Order: sequence, then structure tokens, then C-alpha cells
Amino acid sequence: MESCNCIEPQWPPDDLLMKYQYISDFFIALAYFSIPLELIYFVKKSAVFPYRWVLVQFGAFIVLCGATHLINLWTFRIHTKTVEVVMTTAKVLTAVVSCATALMLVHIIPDLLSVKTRELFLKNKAAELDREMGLIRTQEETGRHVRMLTHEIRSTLDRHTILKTTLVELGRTLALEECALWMPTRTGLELQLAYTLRQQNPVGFTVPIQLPVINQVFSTNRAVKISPNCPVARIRPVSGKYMPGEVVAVRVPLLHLSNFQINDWPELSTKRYALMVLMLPSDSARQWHVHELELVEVVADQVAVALSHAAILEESMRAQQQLLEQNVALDLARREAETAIRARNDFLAVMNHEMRTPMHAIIALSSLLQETELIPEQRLMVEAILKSSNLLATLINDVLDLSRLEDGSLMLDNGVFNLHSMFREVLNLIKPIASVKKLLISTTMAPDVPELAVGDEKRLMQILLNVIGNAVKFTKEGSVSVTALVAKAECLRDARTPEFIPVATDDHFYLRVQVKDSGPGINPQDIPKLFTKFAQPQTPANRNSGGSGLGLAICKRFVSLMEGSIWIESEGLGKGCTAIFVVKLGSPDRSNGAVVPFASNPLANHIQSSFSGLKVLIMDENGVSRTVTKGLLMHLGCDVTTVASSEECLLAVSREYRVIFLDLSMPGFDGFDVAAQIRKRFSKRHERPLIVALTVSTDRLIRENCVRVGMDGCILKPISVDKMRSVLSELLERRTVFEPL
Amino acid sequence: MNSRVVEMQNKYAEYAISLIAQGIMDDQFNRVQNMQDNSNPNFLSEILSSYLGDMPKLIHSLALDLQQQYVDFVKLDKTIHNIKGSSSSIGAICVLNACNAFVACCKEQDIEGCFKCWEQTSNAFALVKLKLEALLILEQQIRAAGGIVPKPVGY
Repeated sequence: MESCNCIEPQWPPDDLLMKYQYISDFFIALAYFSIPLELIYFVKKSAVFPYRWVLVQFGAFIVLCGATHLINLWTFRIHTKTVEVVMTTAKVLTAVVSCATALMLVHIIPDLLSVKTRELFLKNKAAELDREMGLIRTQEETGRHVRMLTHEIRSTLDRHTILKTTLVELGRTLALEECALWMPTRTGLELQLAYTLRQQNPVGFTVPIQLPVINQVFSTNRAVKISPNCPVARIRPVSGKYMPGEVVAVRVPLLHLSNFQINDWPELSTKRYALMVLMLPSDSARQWHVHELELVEVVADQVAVALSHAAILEESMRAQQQLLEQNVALDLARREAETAIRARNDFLAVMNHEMRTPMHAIIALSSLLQETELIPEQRLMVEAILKSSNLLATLINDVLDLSRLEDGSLMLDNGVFNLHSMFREVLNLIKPIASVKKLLISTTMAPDVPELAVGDEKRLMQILLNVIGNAVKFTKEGSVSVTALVAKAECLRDARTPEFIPVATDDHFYLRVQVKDSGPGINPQDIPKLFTKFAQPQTPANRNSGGSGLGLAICKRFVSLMEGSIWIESEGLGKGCTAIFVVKLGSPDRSNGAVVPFASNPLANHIQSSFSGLKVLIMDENGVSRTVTKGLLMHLGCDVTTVASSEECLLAVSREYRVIFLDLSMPGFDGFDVAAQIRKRFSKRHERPLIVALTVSTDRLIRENCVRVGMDGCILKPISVDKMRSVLSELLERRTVFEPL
Repeated sequence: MNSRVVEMQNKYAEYAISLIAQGIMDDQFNRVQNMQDNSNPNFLSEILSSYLGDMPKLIHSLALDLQQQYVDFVKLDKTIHNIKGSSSSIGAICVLNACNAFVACCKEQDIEGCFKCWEQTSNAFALVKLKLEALLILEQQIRAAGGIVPKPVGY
């Protein structure tokens, strides 16, 4: 035999074991080759496989193992050395790769295992999130229910609807068996069942408010689980045996308008609560969940707010209704008052004219009658008539004056007048009466009383006459002394009128007049009554003296109009009486006022003695009157033109006339219209002729109308030459002349 | 000066004063007399003549108006005011007073009263006319004798 490089297997090839090895090796090699193919196939399929390098290694390992086993097939027979070498190489490589792989796997396997743990972890997490999602969904649903409920509740302002809706919606949302609302009674000592869900007409159950369970519920703003057996929960008659569902109660604060403060809810102290009781269906295994309790609490709060809104609305509607009624009543009262005032004014107007006219006629005719030849009896009768009518006239005047004074429509007629001469006049009027009664009248005027003053001369005279007249009337014997002085602040502080402190300034001064008589005096208690209308202290002394009792009341009004005060002092019966008044008078100042008085002592330092050439236009519808006025003005030297109608007047008017006299005496003649037209024609003041109205009427209205249409003067007829002279000089100097009426 | 003129002037003055004293004329008459001067020498006679001439027509028209079937009180009132105006201008106080009463009746539309008032007014005017005409004659006499007509003092 030749020696070949062949390797002999250890066992004979035909051995059975050899056969089995052969087959096994073959299949192993097959499997080993197919595994990487499968791996590659599936890895290619999968999207993510991070271990490619491991795969390659493993693939190599498998392939080599397979190769090894495959080559092993050839070693069962005699094989050459080459096959052995290949086999050895394969084995070596396989060894290397498999060791490398084994080492690699040490790194890989923990990672692979941790993947599994992570997967488990994530699965748990997902389950948890699912659970939470479920919870949130439930809560969201609850929230939706609350919103809907709130919307329902707040969409109405009717208390009853609010409460009913609450119960209905709650019942629906929470699937309640019964829902009830207990309201506190008026006394606040009991809770009364006001509304229920299922029962139509809840019987008026009441429950005392001081139950411990109720206190427990009221003490917290959370929903509280209560026992189904407590009185507030036992609304329906217990029938049969069943497990009552769980019951929850919550307080509903009843808020009032006064409870609301700006930034925080009111405290618990002044609280009225209602009780809301909710019952889950019986025989169900349901329990109150937290979110359901929260829902109940929120609803209770919303109900409280809605109820308070409803209450506010009720109150405001009530107040509005009340105001409306009051307005109607006030309106009615106002209209009644207006009607009354109008009626009074109408009456006064009628009294004014209608009563005065016949009165004056009676007086005038009686005086005329007195002048004629009469037998003594007739004379007595006529004197009586005259006296009575004079009294009546005085009464009418007094009442009319007082009415005008009372409603404040009387205004003083201020003008410059001579104080001293006014006193003289008053005294001249009183002296005859005083001398008949053999009373001594003395007047003292302080040296600092000015000669001229600004005030209402007529009314001041009226006051003086009244006061001095009273003194003379009530004094049977003795004297009446009149003192006038300028009041200084110190000597005027009278205890009776402490609030009246006169202060003289440059424009005005206070005149104090004191009239002291030695008459019967007055009881100090009666003094306040003196100044009230129609009230006369009834003493034997004055019961026969007549008088309506209005005099002093009127004086008081006049005095207050003159910003003064009047009072009477008496030490008692039999001790005489002193009447004192203080009035505010203005100091005449040449520079103030557009209305310059037409004084009897002409204030102007220079009077033009002749107005020669002064072009004057006279407008008078009455021929005789026109001629007289013309004569008057011609006598003063004026260049006079006369016209007899408004048309002629407007035609004749031109710039060359300095003065236009409009006679207003004829009825139906609208002098004011003519004046207005003349004024319109001349825009520039210095070109315009001066317009003066002549009138016989002392009506104030005429004077006011003259001022209103822009006339420059208003003079009373009859006019003497002297008067016209003064008027013209006043007019030319000051461009205005208004005679005080 | 001629004593006859002086005598006439005295008589005139007395007469003028008596008119006022009797209440036929008033102070305005004095003023009217005063308006007569050199620039206006015939003022008094002119004015009195004008007055005495106008009045009868007016009074007559009043009578006619009052006798109408439907008395127009407005027109009546206007005429009376005219008379009033004239009378007050020269100072015929008695006519003025009668007119005042007349106005009142007119306002009340009292025809009976108006008739009475018209009568009074007419009478008053008749009186005034008599007196003033007498005065005018006296004035004429003074003028004719070359004297000046006296004027009342202090106007």
C-alpha cells in the first residue's frame, strides 16, 4: 500500500453509528444554513433592529458551524488531507467567531431583557392613563351638567322657577330618587319643606332648626352625608322594607342685598340658610362619589346667587312700583297746588280791580257828598259811610298786600328819597289824631342819619305809620316818642334776635327806629302773637279799637323784605310799650344803577334853563292832549313836531329828532310796537333819538314794558313845566329817565 | 297900566282860581295856563277852543252809539277814553270824573248805568264849556285892552 495523505476516520464507514452521525451532521448543516436566511428574511421585514452587527456575527457563526458540519460529511470516508485542512480551518474560524459571539451576547442579552421590562412598564402606564381618562371624562361630564344647570337656574329671575329647575336638573343629572328643599320660616326657628322633586304638593312639614344634624350641615359649606332616618330625609312615607339610598345634605345660603360686600363674601354670622337634601335611589348600590358631592356644592352656591338676584330684582321692582305711585301722587298734588294757586291768583285779580273800583267810587262820592249842603243828620250818616268805607278799603288793601307778600311776589320799589322829609310827612299825618287825644308826640333824629337814602319810601312810610299809629291808637294819655338813629353793630345785638347782626358798609346802613308809648302795655306772653295774622290779644283796651290785626303782620313782612327785624318790648301791663324796628337802607351813590330816580329835589347840579332848538317829536292820538304837550315843550323852547298816528310817526322819525314822546293814554294804541320799530331802525346808539313814554297809569306793567322794548324813559302825566324841564335835562344828561311810580 | 285892564286882570285871575276851587278844573289847568308865553301867545285860547270844539262831537257820537240796538261797548270805551284824555290834558276834572264812572259802567256793559253816566258827562261838559267860554271872553277883553293875560303863580 502506498501511504497517502488521506486521513482515515476512526470508525469504519459502514458502521451504523457513523451513518447516524452522517445524517445528523447533514441536517445540522442544513439547519445552520437556513437559520441565517430566516433571520435575514425577518430582519429585512422588521423596521427596526438595532443589532445588525450582532446579526452579522451570529450569521457568520452559524454559517461557519454549518460549514463545519457540512465538511464533516466528507470525513466519514477516506478523505484527503486537503479536506482535513479545510475542515480544520473551518473549525478554527468557527471557534473564533463563536467565542466572539459568546462574548458579544454577554453584552446583548441584558439589553434584550430590559426591553421586555420596559414594555411591561409602559403597559402599566397605559392602563393607568386609561383609568385617569375615564375619570376626567366623568368630571367633564359633571362639569357640563353643572354648567347646564347653572344656565338653567340663572336664566330665570323667578324664585320659584329657580328652585324647581334646580331640583329637576339635579335629579336628572345625578339620577336621584328624591330631592327636597327646606326653607327657613319667617320666624327662623323652623325649616319648612318648600319644594320636592317627585311629590307634587309637599305637605307642610316643618322641622325645628336646632336639630344637631341640621347644625352640622349648616356649619360647613361642604355637602354632608346624613342618615336616611333623620327627619329631613324622611320625606316619603316609609313603605316596605328597602334599603334607602345614601342621603346628602348641603346648605344654601340665602343672601340679601345688604350682605354683599365689595370684595369678599359675607361672614357666617348673619346667616339664613335653606337646606337641600338629595337621596340616591334606594336598593341600588350607588354611593356618593366625590365629584358628585362637589357638583352638589357648586350647585348650592349657584342657587344661592340666583336666589339673591331674584330677591334683588323683586326689591327693585317693588321700589320702582313705589316710586311710580309716589310720582303719580306728587304729580296730582302739584297739579292741585297749581290749580289752587291759579284760583287764588284769579281771585286776587278780581279782588284787586273789581273790589277796589266800587270802593273808590264809594269813597270818592261820599267825600264829594260831604262837600255839599247837608243837614246834620245827613252829615253824620255820610261821615259814618266814609269811615266804614275807608276801613273797608284799608282792609282790602291790607289783605291784598299780605297775600302778595306771602307768596313772595312782592318786591320792593327802591328809589332815592329824603328820609327827613318822609319822617316829617308821617308826623304831619299823625299829629292831628294825637292832638285830638291830647298826646304828646316827640321826634328825635340822630345827627348821623343821612338826608337821603335808597329804599322803598312808600312801604317804609307804611311801616312807620302802622307802628306810630298803633302807639297812638292804644295810648289814652301821655306821650309817644319816636327816635331814629343809624344802628351800630354793638348797640343792636338784641337778645331776641341773636342771629341778626347788622353790619354797615359803604353801600348801605341800618336805620333803627324806636317808638315808645306810655300806653297800657302788653303782657310779655302775648308779644309773639302780635305779629301773627288776625290774632289780636283781647284786652279791654283794644277791643273797640278796630283794626283787622293784619297791620303788624304786614309790617313784619315788609321789614324782613328790607332785611331788617322788628320787635316789641313791654315790661308788662300798665308799663307802656316800645316798638323797635331796624331796616337796611342803601346809601345813595351817584354812580350806581341805570335807573336814576326823579327826585323832587333835583339831584342834577345844573339844569338847562332852555332847550332852544332841541328837536322833539310828539306822537299823541288825542288832539287836545297833543296840543298841550306841544305847548309845554314849546314853552321850554323846543322845536316841536307833532304826529297823530303810528304811521305818521314812523314816517316822520329821523335822525334829527333828539327826543320822541309817545303818549300811551289812548286804548288800542300800541306805543311799544312803535318804539320797537324806531329802535330797530337806528342801530347806532348815538344816532338814535331818545324815546320817552307818557302815561296816566301807574301800572307797573307799563313801566316794565317800556324797559323791555328799549324805551329810554317813562313819565307820568300830568306834567308841569318844571317837571318837563327836569325830565329833559335828566334825559339829555343820562339818556334815561324813569319816574318812580 | 290902565286901571280897567288891572281890574279885568284881577277878575280873570279870580275867575280862573274859582274854577279850580269849585272843582271844575284842577291843577293841570294852571299848568296849561302857564304854557302860554311869548313864543306861544295864543296857546290858551287855541287849546281851549280846540277842546270846546271837539268835545260836543264826541259826546254826540256817544249818544248815538248808546241808542243803537246792539251797543258797541268797545267803540264806546274808545270814545270815552278820548274824552278822558282831552279833559285830563287841560285839567277839566269834573268831566274826567264823570268819564271815570262812565268807563266803569261801560266795562260792566250796564246800559242803564251808561245812560246815566252819559248824562253826567254831558252835564259836566256843559258846565265846563260855560265856564271856559266865560274865561275866554275875559281873556279877549284883556287882550283887546292891550294887557297881558295873568298866569298862575308857581307853575
